[in-house]
Amino acid sequence: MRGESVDAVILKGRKDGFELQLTDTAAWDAILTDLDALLQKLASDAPEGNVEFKLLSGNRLLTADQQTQIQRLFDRFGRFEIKSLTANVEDPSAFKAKLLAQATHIVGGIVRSGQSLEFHGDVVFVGTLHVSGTLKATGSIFVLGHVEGLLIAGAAGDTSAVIAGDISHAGQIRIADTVEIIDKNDYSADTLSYINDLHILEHGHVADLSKMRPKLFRKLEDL
Amino acid sequence: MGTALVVTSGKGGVGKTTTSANIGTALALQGKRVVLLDLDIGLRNLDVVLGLSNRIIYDIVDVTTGRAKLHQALIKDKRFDDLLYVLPAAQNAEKDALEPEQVKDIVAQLRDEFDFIILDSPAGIEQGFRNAVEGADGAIVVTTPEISAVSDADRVVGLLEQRDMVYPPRLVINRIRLKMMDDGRAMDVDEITQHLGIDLLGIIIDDDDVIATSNKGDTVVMDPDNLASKGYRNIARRLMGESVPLMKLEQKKVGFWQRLFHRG
Repeated sequence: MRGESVDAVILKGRKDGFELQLTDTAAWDAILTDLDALLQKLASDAPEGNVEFKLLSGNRLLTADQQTQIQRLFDRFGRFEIKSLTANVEDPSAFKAKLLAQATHIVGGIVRSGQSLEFHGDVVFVGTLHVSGTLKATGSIFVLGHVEGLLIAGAAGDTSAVIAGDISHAGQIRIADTVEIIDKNDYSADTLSYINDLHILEHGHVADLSKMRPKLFRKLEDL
Repeated sequence: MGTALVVTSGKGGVGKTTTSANIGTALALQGKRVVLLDLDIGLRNLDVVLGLSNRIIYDIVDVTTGRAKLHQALIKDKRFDDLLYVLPAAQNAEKDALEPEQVKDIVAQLRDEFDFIILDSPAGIEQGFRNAVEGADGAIVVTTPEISAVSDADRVVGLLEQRDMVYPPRLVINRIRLKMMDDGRAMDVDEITQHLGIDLLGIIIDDDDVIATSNKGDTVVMDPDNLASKGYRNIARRLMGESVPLMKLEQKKVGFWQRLFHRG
């Protein structure tokens, strides 16, 4: 065991407060004992004052159980508190969900009357959406195919979602909580439908999209 | 092993029963053994169209409840030797007296004996539709050149496609009025077929004789010269795997001089 040579818990003082590094190469039990000893020593060295700690767990993702174990250690000293607990890594399923929400889905085929297709993220639609069919995305919808049915962008309430493309033959479009019944057909492939600052569904030109919604073009940064 | 096909449409009154009866008859005329199942419980009329209603003793619900054997309930159409049979629907049973599994069971029993099992579905997409579809290997979707019928057909095709049948659904466009299609007041064949995105099995030109013959308990298919009859015969041949070109839809052209002197 090389555990002897590794400090399981390292205390560091930073500009913005104390930081506790829970070494990810140390055994979990070693962390608990070290942390316990460290906190007791701190409590006796400085008998007064409230202290907050930032906890960093490195490449180890703490389970809910491990988190409560740590919380319990702190709870014994009323004046020590955990400010935050962060890891360099993330739960794969949570990350997958995040990635999917960012994904752009390419959707083709026929969506028929009574059918509803739902997507997490953005959709590029290259199929045919029939009257009374529904295409729903939590993100934006880019229409390359033919649309006669109902388009719903920002289905979970995202008002920055847009619908780009020809909606002349659509029955209705919705973005977040706004609705427009389409009864004109002077839209074209470069029509951009979006919610403006006054929270009104408006139509503009797709060329303005990069200025209007810069975030749409650099999504990976948000991950 | 016979093939089971459901005739369905979503919308009522587009000619499901007439289509079932005529396709069945046309197949029998080609020498195939055919059985027609009427699944419109409570509103049976396939037997009426074929002029067999006075011969009914047992119906499909009698079979599923064990009151009769399947063979006792089958009615033979004597005009076609031993080729055409009908299993009538129940008249006095609840709409959901039949379960999809029971229909599947009956179809399975009929497969060995018949080349084609045609299931005439009731209108709608509820229990009766599900019963009819459950037993089928493929579907014939009937529509007319009307927006309401095409829209309902679209819904039905969507439901059929979810079921992953052996054969993809095929389309029959019924009651085509040449004049209306010619002058653009009705949707045309290509438009409907392209919109629904399924293969076209055939077209039936609207003809008074379709109703007139069925009122007498005959099928129009028995008249070889009738245009509607030709449509049904072509469908039957296509179902048997032949490749038959689509009927030409041109009306007799009225000459310029004739139009000039015969206005109105």
